[in-house]
Amino acid sequence: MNTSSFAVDSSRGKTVDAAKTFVLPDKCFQKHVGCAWGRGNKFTIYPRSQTVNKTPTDTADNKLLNIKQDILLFTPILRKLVNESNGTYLSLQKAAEAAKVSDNQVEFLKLSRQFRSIIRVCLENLQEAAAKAEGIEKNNLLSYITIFYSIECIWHLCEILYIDNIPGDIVLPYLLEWVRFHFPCHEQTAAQLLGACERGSEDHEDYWDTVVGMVVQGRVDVARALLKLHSAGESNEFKLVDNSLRSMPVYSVYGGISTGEFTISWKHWQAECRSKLSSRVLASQPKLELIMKIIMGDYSAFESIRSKYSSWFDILGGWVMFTAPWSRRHELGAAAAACAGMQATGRSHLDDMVRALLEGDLHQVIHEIQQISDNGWFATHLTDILFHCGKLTIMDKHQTNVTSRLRDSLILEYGCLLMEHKSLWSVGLSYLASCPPEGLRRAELILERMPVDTEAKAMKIIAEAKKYELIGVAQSVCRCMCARHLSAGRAGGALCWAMRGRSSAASSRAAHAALAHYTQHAVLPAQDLLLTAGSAMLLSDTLLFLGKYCDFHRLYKTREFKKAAQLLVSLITSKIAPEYFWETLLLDTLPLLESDEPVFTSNDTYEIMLCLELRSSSLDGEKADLLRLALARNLARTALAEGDGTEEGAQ
Amino acid sequence: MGELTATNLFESQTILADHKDLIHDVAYDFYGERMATCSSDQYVKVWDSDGNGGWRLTASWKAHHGSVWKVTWAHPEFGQVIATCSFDRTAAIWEEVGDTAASGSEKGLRTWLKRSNLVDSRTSVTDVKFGPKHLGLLLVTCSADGIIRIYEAPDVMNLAQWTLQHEIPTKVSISCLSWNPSLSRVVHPPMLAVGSDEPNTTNAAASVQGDKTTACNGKVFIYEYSESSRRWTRTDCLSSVQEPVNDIAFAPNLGRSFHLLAVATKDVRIIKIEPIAESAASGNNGATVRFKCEVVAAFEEHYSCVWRVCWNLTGTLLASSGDDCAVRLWKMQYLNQWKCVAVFKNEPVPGDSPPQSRPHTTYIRMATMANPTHMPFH
Amino acid sequence: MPLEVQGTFVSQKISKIRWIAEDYVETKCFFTGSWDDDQNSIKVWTLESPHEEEEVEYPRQLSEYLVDGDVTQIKFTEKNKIAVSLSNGDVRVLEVSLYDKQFPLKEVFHWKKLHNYGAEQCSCTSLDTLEGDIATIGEDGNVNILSGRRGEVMHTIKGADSCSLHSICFIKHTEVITGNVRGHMKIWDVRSTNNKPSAAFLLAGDELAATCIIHHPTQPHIILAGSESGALAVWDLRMNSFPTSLVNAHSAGVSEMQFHPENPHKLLTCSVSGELWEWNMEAMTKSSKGPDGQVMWMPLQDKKSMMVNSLIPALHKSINSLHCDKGRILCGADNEAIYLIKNFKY
Repeated sequence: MNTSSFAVDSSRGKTVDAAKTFVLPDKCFQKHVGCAWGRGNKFTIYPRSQTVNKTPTDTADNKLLNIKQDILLFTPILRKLVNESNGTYLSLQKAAEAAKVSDNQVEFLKLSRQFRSIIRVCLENLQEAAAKAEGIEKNNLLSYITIFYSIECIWHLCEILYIDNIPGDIVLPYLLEWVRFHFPCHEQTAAQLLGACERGSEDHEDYWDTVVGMVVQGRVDVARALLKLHSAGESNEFKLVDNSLRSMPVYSVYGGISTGEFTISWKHWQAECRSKLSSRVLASQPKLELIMKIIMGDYSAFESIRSKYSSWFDILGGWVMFTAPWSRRHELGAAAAACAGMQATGRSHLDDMVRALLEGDLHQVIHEIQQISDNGWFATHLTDILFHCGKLTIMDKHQTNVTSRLRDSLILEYGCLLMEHKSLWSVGLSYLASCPPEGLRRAELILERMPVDTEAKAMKIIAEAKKYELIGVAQSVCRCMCARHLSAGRAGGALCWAMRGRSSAASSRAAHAALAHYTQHAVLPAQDLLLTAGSAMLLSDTLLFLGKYCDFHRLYKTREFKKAAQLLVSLITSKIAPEYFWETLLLDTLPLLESDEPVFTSNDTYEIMLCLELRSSSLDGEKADLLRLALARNLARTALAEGDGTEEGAQ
Repeated sequence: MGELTATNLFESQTILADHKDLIHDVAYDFYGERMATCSSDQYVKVWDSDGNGGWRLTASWKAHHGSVWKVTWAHPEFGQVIATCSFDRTAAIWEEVGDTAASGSEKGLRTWLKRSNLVDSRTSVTDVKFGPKHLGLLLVTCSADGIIRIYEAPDVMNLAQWTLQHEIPTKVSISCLSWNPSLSRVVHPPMLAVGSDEPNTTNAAASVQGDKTTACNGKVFIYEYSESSRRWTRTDCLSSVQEPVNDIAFAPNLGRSFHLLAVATKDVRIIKIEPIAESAASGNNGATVRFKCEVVAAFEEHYSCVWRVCWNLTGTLLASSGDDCAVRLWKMQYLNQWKCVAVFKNEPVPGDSPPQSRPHTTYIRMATMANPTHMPFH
Repeated sequence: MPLEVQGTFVSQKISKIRWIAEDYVETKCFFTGSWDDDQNSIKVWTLESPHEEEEVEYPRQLSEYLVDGDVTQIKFTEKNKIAVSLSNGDVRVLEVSLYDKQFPLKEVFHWKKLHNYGAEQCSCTSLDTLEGDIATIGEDGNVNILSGRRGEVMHTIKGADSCSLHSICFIKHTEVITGNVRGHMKIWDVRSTNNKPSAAFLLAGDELAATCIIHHPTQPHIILAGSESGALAVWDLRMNSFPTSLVNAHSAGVSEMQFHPENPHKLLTCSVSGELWEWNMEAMTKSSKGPDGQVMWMPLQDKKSMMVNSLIPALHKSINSLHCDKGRILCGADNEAIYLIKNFKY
């Protein structure tokens, strides 16, 4: 269950990981309660008493309450996400295997983008569904959309900061792209205004907000184009600002200049701007003044516009751009603190995650994303990719590296969660299998307990078990199938599954059942199977006996009496016949003894006689006497024939 | 940006058990598809999942002449078999007989036949459990007079025949037992843990002696089977558990070198039992130390006597219930610490009366308690 | 043009997928059947471009028909009628409207619990159709011959097998071949009343199930069977003894096979190991005289000589079904996705 997070003391100590309390409905339990686990996340609470003395009870205390976790990922739309991301996850495991011998960062980035595109598709599906839905359903979908928007946003930032290969680590262009993509504020208005291309656009109520917004998003060209649409666009004030925007130095790793050189020209440009501002030429245009202040990285100017945005992420790109455009990707903590500090409002969960990410505290990030109620999808996949990229290092209090343990625990939990689902179990299994050895031990427990309602399902479970070399599970499933056929009296199915499971005990049980069936109904079941079974017949003595006995029937039916007789004698003398079968076996000699041509040699006859006397208790007196008589008669005629020497090649 | 943490995480479903007295035990079968209940009304009931989340009563019969304490399922390899134990001093083995033209079969009712009645105990049989399937078809019972009995069905096709293999006197009242489910017979010999609910009087403590172990005030005993001597011997007594024990349960082993045992006593305990390598353990006087035992968690949150402890399938979650009428879920974190992750309580929310019970089979969502301290952020 | 593969996730494991044939235009609609879910269904889909100008076509669901149990087989009895076998033992004949595919499927016939273990449920594992007749098999080991026109059970072979049957194929109107969970193949004359097969032989020595059987489109005496082991076996039924040729093909069970409807030399197979292969079978059907003057057939020992091509990179999960129409192949898989492969050369 993903209701929890890890218990390592968080450095911030912001969150109190208190257990959630749930109110049971119905007030049905007044006294003691007991509990029992069912499959997966289901368990039952029942009223219970330990007292031996019976006390009269009211029957209201007589309800069972089944509790199960509500799993968001099992909704049909999100199942697409689960399945598709499973493919990417498995590719990632392969890439990680390859990365052990050669650098594979490019592949990791490709897979990270694949994950993001899966999230994007999922969001589109959710939006499409939300547009059609109503009521609670719609609310649910909207809350899923919120969840996955945040996930997309965090994943993207994570990719920029940890997975992408950024030239010179200069993060600004990527950061701006992130802000523009996830917080596309004013973009539409800007496009509208530019599209209309009319002088006097300042009449639009959002004109100035849009211009400032474009500046803050680092879209200087758009801002300049918008400024030109102002009716006073040709005035000196506007030209002055336009000039400043145009002449802003833009840092590029490939620009051929060092950071130091760049800083000098940057400082120079800022000084120029400052002098323009202090000359008060812009005093008549406060909005232009604001723009100048912003591009100079003036804190109070940023602070003044903060309230126009829903979050501080909107202005983060601009803040970095106009204060320290040369920032490397792990130097964003201060910028984040500055932007976040501009307005003292309640922090949202997303705030905390983005802050932690920008500060480079991945431990905290993972801690936070575990709180997202996506059943661990995001935490599992993000942790896994960061782990494989070698970007995640988490130490416990003894400074031991526990990163792989964290990764494993998340994957194990996610895998187990999916294995509970009727259809998604095979997806869950592939997660568990990627986490040996514990994953396979858990898979074993769950797989063995998968309800099997058809043979097709049993065969699929066995195929999956064999894929991961869980031979014990495959055999156990076979034995359970055998037991089921056995209790329903279906000998063929029981034999078949016992043999498939190569189980000596089960095949012996099934063979006994078939023999017992024959003694009661005089019909030998599953002859088609017994006559075509190969080496599996050697699994148990009883099965072997049954097979041979079946062959005896075949020979007898095809009137190959000599061969039949030989086989029967060998069955009698081998002494592997079960106790209850001796009567049948001995009586089977009768028709052969009475056949026109003698088929038992005198030696055979002696053997049968010996057995008859040894096992006289298996036959009642009358039958035994009948048999003795037949044996004696056969002995007489064979002795005669053998004495003549006319008996042709006895064996 | 809305709230990312959900408030509705669990759903519940009410089933009218229709027992005429207190229910003592609920047990799921191997697949979690069938559920057996037993009660002081002397009846056992079997419920089958209808495949759509609901449960259908498929059998109900008077199983004993006294309260039925426990019910437990055999591995499906042995067919559809359950065992029950009762205040009437017996334990019984029941088998479902395959589809027949029995009178009830049209109504979906199935027939369970009593295959065997184990009458060796002279006092109430307090617990019954089938052994791990790789040991064959084994059954262990324990009774109020402190005798553990291990039975075996030599022929699994014949459930009428059970032979009493071992009788182990403990001299204290035994309330509960648990098999160690470890599949590795080579590494771990067959192992049983039993718990005693003997009240703590000085007499009782003094009487707990015998075997070769030294006197021990503990209430949980570990028994192991030795292939060579063909005997079950007490190999440890957990001195850390001093209060009467109501329930114990081994966690699935998952290939670990140690075992985890949950104990329901005055609190919820999780005890790590680690076998010590033979060579390091053997003393010179024959009194060997077999295990290193360590209490890895002791939770007093129930503030009262704990009655039940129960592991989920993979042993990652432990549910406990106590006299406080609450069920708590405990979960192991990735660094092996345990913490409470959810509490299920009966407390009514002030000013908001919960809906009355309806005997329906659909799951309804449960609301979390309106207590701000329980929510991480807003 | 290179092969184009396009996957769509559909939130259901797909057990069967079938194009719905059209008379004069390119096929656009298809059926899927699902399995292993809490609620399974048969769906009708169409391929369409969401935006007019775009080339890419995506499947869009037109209708859904809910069923109990898993869909185990879908075969056409007529152009717009399908016979469906279900794991609850039922067999249904459903009709899709010729004019409006969005219209819900209409039930034509419904045989409840056709396969059963008395009161207990038993899976109807597969069926085959021929000219309106339907042959069904089940885990109960029975074979039923149904009339898809009159909706009656024409013949039942009780206990045709003591184990469960998993695959069936009409050889001709009066003859079917069945394969069981152990790879035991039996040929039945459906007119005979003695419940004895006219021939029986084993698929392989490994005692694994025969998962699918088809016959060659132009030479119906050539029978192919896929095994749970991934092997492919070929028989020539004209031979008295049944010399079989066995190729170790896929690394896990063969789930479905189809000869290309327009080119009998092309065989398509898909597998539990997530593979989709095309085979050039031209060599197989060229019989030659052996040294003793007997008609020999090409042994399939070496699959390389058979010209096997993998059409898509192997999926991580089983591909359960395929259906080919001209240059387009549909696949349904256990990763809850359907795949459309375009520009297949045949």
